[in-house]
Amino acid sequence: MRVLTSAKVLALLVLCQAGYSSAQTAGSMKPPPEAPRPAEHGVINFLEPIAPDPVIQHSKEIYVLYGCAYCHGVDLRVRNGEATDLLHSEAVAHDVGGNVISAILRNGIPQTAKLSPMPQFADLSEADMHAIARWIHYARMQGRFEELMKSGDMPGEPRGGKSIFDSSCAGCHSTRQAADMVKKTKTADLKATVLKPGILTAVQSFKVDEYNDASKIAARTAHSAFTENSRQTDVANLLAYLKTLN
Amino acid sequence: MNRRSFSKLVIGSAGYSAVAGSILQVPLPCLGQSRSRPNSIINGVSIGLQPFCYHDLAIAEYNRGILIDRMIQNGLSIVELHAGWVEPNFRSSVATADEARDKLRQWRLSTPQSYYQKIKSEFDQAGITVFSYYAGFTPTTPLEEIDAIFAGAKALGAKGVVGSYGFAVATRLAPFPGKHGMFGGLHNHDNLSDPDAFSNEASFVKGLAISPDFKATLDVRHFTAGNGDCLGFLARHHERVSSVHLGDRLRNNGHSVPFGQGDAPIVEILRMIRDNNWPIVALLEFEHGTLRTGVEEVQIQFDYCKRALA
Repeated sequence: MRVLTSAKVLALLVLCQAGYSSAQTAGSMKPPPEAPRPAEHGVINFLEPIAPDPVIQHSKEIYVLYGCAYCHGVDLRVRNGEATDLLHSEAVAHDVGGNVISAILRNGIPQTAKLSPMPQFADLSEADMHAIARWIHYARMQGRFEELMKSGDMPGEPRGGKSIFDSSCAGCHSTRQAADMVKKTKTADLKATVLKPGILTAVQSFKVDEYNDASKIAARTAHSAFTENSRQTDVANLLAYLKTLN
Repeated sequence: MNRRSFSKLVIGSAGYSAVAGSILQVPLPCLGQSRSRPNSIINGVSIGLQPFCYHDLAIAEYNRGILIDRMIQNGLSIVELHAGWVEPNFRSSVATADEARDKLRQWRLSTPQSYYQKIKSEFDQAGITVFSYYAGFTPTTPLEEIDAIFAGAKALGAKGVVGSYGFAVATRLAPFPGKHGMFGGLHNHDNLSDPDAFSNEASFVKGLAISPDFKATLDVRHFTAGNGDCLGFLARHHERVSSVHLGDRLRNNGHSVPFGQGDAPIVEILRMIRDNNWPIVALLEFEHGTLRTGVEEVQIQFDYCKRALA
């Protein structure tokens, strides 16, 4: 898990101020090559599809209510050509529990090379800021999942995959558990299962003994971060490694 | 009564529909059932729309019919028409942004005036005037393409062409408004750190000096967010102002909010235009988010303006 000091948050804000493009960072995710992009058609319904989890749906509504969707897109696909691409943003990749996103919301980005600065939302409540951050991560996870699934399969390097497993998975999953999961999963479904396991699609329970379950919260966060921030090569390498476990 | 309590007259008010209906002469809440021609000149002030306000309606030439229907529903008879409502979108049919750009350029240079005149007639039949045309210019837009854009705008009946550009582009555009008998609109944002941008009063003064055919399209949201004095600007420069983009924002680069909840002096601006009989068009243009439909949200903000002019 990435731990971000306040100095690093400040550094990220400075990068945002300079209009830094996430695609320029060595080793960062690059957006897929420009593909024909269908124009938005007819009337756009910002609220639908309604998310199965009402907490997520509420987060989306807050994101829409404060105007974020009009520039950044409700699905994080930029609408106005100028707004930061949150789907591939390095700043969002470094966000933990909304710390980076909240800082950007509070301060805005008044100095920019772009036409219009990102406004500040200093008057928003903490709850609203966290809701916006929650939606950004959810939509980013969904969007990156689609991109990674559409990018097809490429051969991976098991040794590289073992490094990824050791750093991203081994904290919660033993190799035995991983091997069992691979055995139970059809090969064609393995990539989707790794990128969007059940914990990411389950509706959050508010039973007294479940709603604050730290391990579930940590699992959701870790899996979402993996899908949000992995490159195609990372996924290919991990899958190649997992297939060697049985 | 201050701005915030004035705006609270609408928020949560059950009576606004009835009041709005009596002004619009359109039965409400059945928006859309009456097709009477709209008239949004309210007590001498021309109020229009930047259709960007319909955030839930994609800007596309094939949605123009829906746009016109919505404006009739909202009772708005003046529009600042973005080029996206007129020109085809080549972005979805070619591989790269550069290819789309080239195709658009070729289209602009080869499209006859009759194309634009036909679109004008759509708006004429609906009782809607195209006041201005909003187009994108860059420092590398060829001069013949700039000329074609102005010619097309003229055929649409527009009085001027507006865009979000800075000094460098404005300097290249300078010969064209006068050539076509139009004004060139300089539109501001609140990017106070960009020396090329129109953002504060000083930058507007410098920009307006480039050509007597330039006018300020004062975006009161961004001017307010940049801590500018909208009323002072209008008082000093009203003769060089074509229109205002009406919306509300908080100062100090604050975000957009519904009318009356921010720092933009919307009521005062409208009264100033009215009381001085200035021919400045007030175009609704807002970016605050909403969970309502675009038509509902535009209606609420338009009704706010009508109460300001009552």
